[in-house]
Amino acid sequence: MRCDYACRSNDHQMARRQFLGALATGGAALGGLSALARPAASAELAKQQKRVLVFNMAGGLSQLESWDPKPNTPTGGPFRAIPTSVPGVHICELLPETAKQMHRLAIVRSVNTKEGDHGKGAYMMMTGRKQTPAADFPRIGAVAAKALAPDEGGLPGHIQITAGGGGRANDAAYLGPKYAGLLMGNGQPPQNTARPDAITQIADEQRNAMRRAVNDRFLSRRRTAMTDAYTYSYEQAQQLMAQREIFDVTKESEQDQARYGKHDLGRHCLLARRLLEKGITYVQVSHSNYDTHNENFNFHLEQLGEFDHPFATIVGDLADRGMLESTLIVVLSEFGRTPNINHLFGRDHWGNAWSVLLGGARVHPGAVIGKTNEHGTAVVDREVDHGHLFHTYLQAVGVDSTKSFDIDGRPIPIADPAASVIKELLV
Amino acid sequence: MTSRLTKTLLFLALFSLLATGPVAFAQEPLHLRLDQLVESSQIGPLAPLANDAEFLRRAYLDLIGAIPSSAEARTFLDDPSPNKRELLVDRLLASPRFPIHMATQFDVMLMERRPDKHVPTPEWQKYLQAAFEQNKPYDQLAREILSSDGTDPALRPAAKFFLDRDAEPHSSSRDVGRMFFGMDLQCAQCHDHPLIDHYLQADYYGLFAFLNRTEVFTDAAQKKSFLAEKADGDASYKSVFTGDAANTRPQLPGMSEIDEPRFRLGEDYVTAPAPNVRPVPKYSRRAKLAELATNGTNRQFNLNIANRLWALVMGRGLVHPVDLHHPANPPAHPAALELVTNEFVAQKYNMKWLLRELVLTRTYQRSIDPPTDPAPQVAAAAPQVPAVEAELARLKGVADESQKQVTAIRTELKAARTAFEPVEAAWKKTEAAVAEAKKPVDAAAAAVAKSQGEAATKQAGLNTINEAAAKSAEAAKVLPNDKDVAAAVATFTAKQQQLTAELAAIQKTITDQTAAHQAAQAKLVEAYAPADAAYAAAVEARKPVDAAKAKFIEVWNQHKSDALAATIQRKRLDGLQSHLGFGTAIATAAAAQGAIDPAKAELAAAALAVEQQQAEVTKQTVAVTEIEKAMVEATKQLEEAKVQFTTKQGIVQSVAEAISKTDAALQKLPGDAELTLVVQKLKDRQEPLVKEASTFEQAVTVRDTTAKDVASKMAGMKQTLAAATTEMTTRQQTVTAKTNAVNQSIANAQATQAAVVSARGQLVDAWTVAAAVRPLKQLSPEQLGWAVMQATGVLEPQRPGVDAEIEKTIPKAGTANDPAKTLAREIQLESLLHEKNRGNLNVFVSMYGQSAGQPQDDFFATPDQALYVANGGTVVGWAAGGQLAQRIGPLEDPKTLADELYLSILTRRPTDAEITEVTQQLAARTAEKPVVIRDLIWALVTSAEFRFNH
Repeated sequence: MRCDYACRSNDHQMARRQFLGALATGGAALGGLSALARPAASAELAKQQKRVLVFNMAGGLSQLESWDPKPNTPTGGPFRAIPTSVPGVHICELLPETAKQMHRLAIVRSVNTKEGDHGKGAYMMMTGRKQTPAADFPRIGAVAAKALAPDEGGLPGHIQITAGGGGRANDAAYLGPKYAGLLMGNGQPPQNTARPDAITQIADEQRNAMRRAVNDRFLSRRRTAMTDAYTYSYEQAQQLMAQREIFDVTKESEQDQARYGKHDLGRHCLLARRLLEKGITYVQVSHSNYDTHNENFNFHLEQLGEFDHPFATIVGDLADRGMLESTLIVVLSEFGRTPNINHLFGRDHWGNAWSVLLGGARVHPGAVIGKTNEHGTAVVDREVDHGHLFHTYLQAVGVDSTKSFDIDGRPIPIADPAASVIKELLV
Repeated sequence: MTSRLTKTLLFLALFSLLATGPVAFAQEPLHLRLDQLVESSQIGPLAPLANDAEFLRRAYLDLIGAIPSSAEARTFLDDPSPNKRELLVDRLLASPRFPIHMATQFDVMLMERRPDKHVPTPEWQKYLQAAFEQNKPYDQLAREILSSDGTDPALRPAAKFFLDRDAEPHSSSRDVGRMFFGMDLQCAQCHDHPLIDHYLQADYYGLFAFLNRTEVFTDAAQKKSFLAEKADGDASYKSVFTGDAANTRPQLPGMSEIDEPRFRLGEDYVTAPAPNVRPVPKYSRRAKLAELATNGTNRQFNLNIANRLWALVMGRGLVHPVDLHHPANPPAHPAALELVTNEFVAQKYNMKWLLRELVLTRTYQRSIDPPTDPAPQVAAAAPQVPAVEAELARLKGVADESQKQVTAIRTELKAARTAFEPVEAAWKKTEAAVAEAKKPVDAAAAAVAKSQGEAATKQAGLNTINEAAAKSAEAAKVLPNDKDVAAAVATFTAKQQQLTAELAAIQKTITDQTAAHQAAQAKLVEAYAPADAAYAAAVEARKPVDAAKAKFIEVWNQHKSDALAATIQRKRLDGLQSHLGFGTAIATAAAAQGAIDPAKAELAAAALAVEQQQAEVTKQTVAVTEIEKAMVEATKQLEEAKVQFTTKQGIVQSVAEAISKTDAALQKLPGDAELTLVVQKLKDRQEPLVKEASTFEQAVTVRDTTAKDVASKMAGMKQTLAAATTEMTTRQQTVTAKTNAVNQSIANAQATQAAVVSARGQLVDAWTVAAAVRPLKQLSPEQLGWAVMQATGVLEPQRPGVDAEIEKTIPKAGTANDPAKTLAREIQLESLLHEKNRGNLNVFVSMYGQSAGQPQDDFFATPDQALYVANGGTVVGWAAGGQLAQRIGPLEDPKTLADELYLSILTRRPTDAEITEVTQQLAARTAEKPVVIRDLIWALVTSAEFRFNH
């Protein structure tokens, strides 16, 4: 039953040693700022680098008002289903622009997570595991950053664009804070990336030159992965300061800003595109709030009305830029909403038969996986849960989710070994 | 030779497996014996010992979590006494910072920076500080932590371990397994561990069974939480992989399920559960855990703490990670771990003693500088390999064999369990009947209690009325004719009668209810008998299960020990092979390096050949040029002769024509004298002219021959030149080939050199694991924060104020003559200073600490840490305005300044190069000395040398 540990292979260690070796030489020669962002030579690599874009529809998006409409049924609600760019596949009329992008996307309509609690549902969907008091598991962003993000370049591998608040999320569990989400509260750049006035540019350069000189003397005695990581973190900091513009969405063209819309979600989507283009591995955009216990239909009309256009725009843009083959897109929630419409015209929490949207990377374009029954009250074909989806996200971007991470000598399976990939969803 | 080595190795392997008592080296202190074990089982070379400055910084950080001041450093470095290291260790162990530092270490180790829930961290740390102050034995400390329920104020903080995990049984089970037994069984919660062969779901649930009856009880009145325990609650599990299921009694890892007393339902509590009552069972499984773990005999409990204390000072556990003890992850030095463990237990879990012994070892004092040349070890490795390989094959065979036995006994155990199931079910049924029978008893008891409450209320009312009636009777005597008074007397009398009647009714109800209770109780007692009998039957019927389980444990432990022996041997083989691999890499690199010179020689020879040929080509070219010139001359000569000949021949032709025409005229004018004379003259002239032309014709022939001759020579020479040029090209191609060969051999040498570097890197890693060279370890967030504050001089200025505060409660005058009191006062002072800086430390903890609830030893570095230090303001502010900057700012002599700077921050004197560097920095920017000093301090504080403990 013992597995090979994905990240302890000799190849990996060699590559790392070589990389760090090259870094040290480059650092010595060029004063540590050897290469901002990607060195030109690795542009091709950068193009092949896999990325993940997750839309978190916080509160619980209704599958019936989005990916699995049931018009003209007692549970279907007032909206129509419209045809999409994939013949035979219909989605809710609230998503007309997304419908035109359907040939680039895929729907899983048979999600059954059996969980109707916001916190637990979100945990399951983000970690691919059930929450247990005995252990914490890293969120998909931390896993993606650990497995996919390049070590060079100084850019964070895991960014979450949220409504407010900055800093570092506590979501990497045993992978460690290095892979935790960097929070860009309402699109603000990371903290402490601006040099204070008390330290002039020259003083900053000189103090760093002194720091390097002290380091070089010490490291000539003993260099380890730890010392490399430590000294490199200062170079990364310098690189981040130099590349602060990456985080500034206003540097995008006026035309693009207008195209995405000037509201928060529009700006956040454009920022997401900018970050992905600049080489960030994992970007998560939150859209809130879909917890529609009352007035479900009015709320979805409003919320999806905001979502449809910028979402379809970023899908189209990623495709036009040739990035869709390397970028996985996921639209998920903590759960779906009840087929039953309550007396407040609302729908309640529902984890038993709902949908997740995917696209890009190895995801089969235009695929529809699984089925719910006539009224959407149960899954009738190809039931899957958070565990299957988690394996699928990772394998879509080329990570062998059946392997293990080696966490300082502790082997830990990357995804739940009791679950497996949705094979037919991947090409 | 080989066979003797093999025997030695065998002995070592055996030695490591069969626990040896302290008999072997009874006379020597532990640290010497440890060094002998560690050093004798090395495959590779040993690093030299650290110098005084390195030892000083290391010992300070490891024992008191701080760095020395520049003055302390100077004193130690200049102290000539040979035993100054030992004296330093004793001084540090007696320091007031020792308990503070150890309390922090144990807090982080046991709580992993979880947020406070029921017991505040300062109280918990104070408890731990007191433990280290009194040098509380570890077994006692662990017993308190595992067993405290939080009700005894003295031991309340000890309950933090479970309380702040909300006594959630999975959380508790995992962390008890990790922290007290060194086994992270979390992945064995839903099935046998998928990656670690020897962690079973049964191990997990065995621990779980000790803990799943414990829960948090919140006392509404006190608004405080305590641990409570129920008297029942099963630990059942089913594997999601195999479907195997069991219901287990408590079981420590590697041990059998324990036998437990049985109390009948209704007789099982000291304090029975009730609303807002903390239940206390007669038999506490958690207390049993505390007892069994800490009674001195649990091997895994003892190994765990010995290994953890080793890791604390050595920077790496003999077993690493410290919570993954299992046969595939053997100790780096099995015999050393065995010895430390046994001696620690023999010394009654005396932690201060063990820490002292550990830091006195040479192993602790090894330098971070890897040894240079392992050539002798590489040479010694090869002959050992065959024997080790053979032994490994044998041990694998043994382990495979015991694995088969495990499989067999597993089947037996499963069968026995299946056979036991109906009996167990029957017993559970009778227990359920008891529970059913107990319900009316509880209901009846509740009813009696309720009635008794009512009766008490009535009685109180009656008592009051009785008093009022007596008073009103007195009033009636005084006022016999008062109607109102008479009416009152009547009312009271009536009420007395009514209440008395009501009370009697309640009493009757109570009597009835008591009877009902007794009846129910009797029924319950009736139900006891079948349950007792069924239990007895179950105990009897379980015997085959217990026997099978006992046999399983025995076989399983044997198998684990076989697997461990095989892994140890494999690690030894790996070690030998990495040394051999390094030797091969060195040889390959040397060969590759050696191939360069011959290739270069060949290149030189080829180049010389080209040079030589070049001369030949040049010579031939010159000759060709010469003959080409001759050819031109000859051609010219020939052409001239041809022209002369042609001219003469023309004249001869003209004369002949003239003769012929004149003869024709004579025939028309025969005898014309003048014509005859002309003819005669022409004919006279013709003869010499023909002769002359003939001469010229001959000259043409001669020159033509000459020209042809030269042309032929020229063709020959050109051919020679062409051949020489071809040869030249060939030779030049050889040079190109040889140049490529040289480049190839250089590239090859570089590649093999890289392989050497890589192989050496792996060796250094292996030596580090083997404790042959000191590992670098990070400063914990607290150590880093404290050391930064110390170095920049943020703490010292606070001391007088803190001292004044302490003076209010403990005047210095009162402690002067009592060392114990002096120390106690110092501890108070240090704790207060520590508390006052908790806010500062917390910033470092949030920046540099791992996530809550995760192992805290793993290192990571992120740019946001560097950005905080560079731009966040705090550290730069300390560097600019701390006492260090103030102290060195006025120093005129750059050398003195550099000395104080380096001693204060890096605990060593600067080298000459470093003094020069500081001097130059100061000289280059004399106008902005404060900025230079600020940035010098910043650069040293952010250096890797500062960030790591080395």
